[in-house]
Amino acid sequence: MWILILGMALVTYLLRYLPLVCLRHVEIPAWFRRWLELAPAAILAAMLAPTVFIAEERIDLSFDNINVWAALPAALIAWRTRNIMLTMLAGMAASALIQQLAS
Amino acid sequence: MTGRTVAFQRGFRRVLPVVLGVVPFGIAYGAASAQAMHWSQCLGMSALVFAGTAQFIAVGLLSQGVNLVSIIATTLMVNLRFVLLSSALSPVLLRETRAWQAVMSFFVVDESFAISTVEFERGETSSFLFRGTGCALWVIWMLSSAVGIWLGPLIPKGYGLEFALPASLIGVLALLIRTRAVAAVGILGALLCLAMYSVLPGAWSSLLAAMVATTLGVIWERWRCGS
Repeated sequence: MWILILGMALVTYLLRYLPLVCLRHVEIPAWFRRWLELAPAAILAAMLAPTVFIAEERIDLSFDNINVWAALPAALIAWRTRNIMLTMLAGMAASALIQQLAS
Repeated sequence: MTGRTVAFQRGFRRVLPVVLGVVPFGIAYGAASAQAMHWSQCLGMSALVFAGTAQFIAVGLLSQGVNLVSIIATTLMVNLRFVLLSSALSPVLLRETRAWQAVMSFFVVDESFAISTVEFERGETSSFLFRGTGCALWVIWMLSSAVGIWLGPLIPKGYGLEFALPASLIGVLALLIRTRAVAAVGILGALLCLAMYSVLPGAWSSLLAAMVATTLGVIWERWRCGS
């Protein structure tokens, strides 16, 4: 676990420090600038998609896949409030409620 | 008091308005990470990585049992934007001595970037302002992570705790999506990932999907602008 943490720390630090060393006299091209701006949301969405939509190795949109139905209110709250804590609470509450209803 | 100390303190104070955004983020990270790691590792990650979104994603992947290399590769991808922030801040950071450049670049995050960019546009001249904002943000990040690590296990089982992490990631995503272009690239990334999921294992399908979606987004924008 600590190896993972140190690896993440090193990679992240180099991304912060190397531009000061290497890019002093180099202009970052506009298209790459744009790429860097768009990338974090894309990776986050691509990471969330399997967590939410895939159950037992396949895409599952049925009522059995609790995560899909817990994600809906969470996404709504996230979109309206832009507040992480409220989004977490909404998602957890929805998930707990659905489990109660299902059992 | 020297001008430097004053600038450092000014940097500390300028962080106050963004505290409301950072603290819930830190608490949420702490609570989520405490499910996947020992508390010392949760704090250690906050101390050494100091990049909220990447930490969140790492914890998410960790709880799915994704391997170390994929998590580090994902961290690289998520934090690539720091290249942008650092190079935009280089006029300020390069005023420091080489040793201090190496130290202060660690404190480049979205918030310290935003605050010091605004202040330097307003005529701030001392690089100590950046030192102040960076250090203040790190302290706040550590404290709020610690609160989250402490609070997390207090939530009883069966209250939807297993959905706490995906829900908090949805919250982070909402913060990132500020324009239609970002939303479009995000949706495309999600769809591509689902399409590739059965072929590529775990985090690699997410990583590849995100890279393809982002690249297509940039190409589409260029093409539409006719350049």
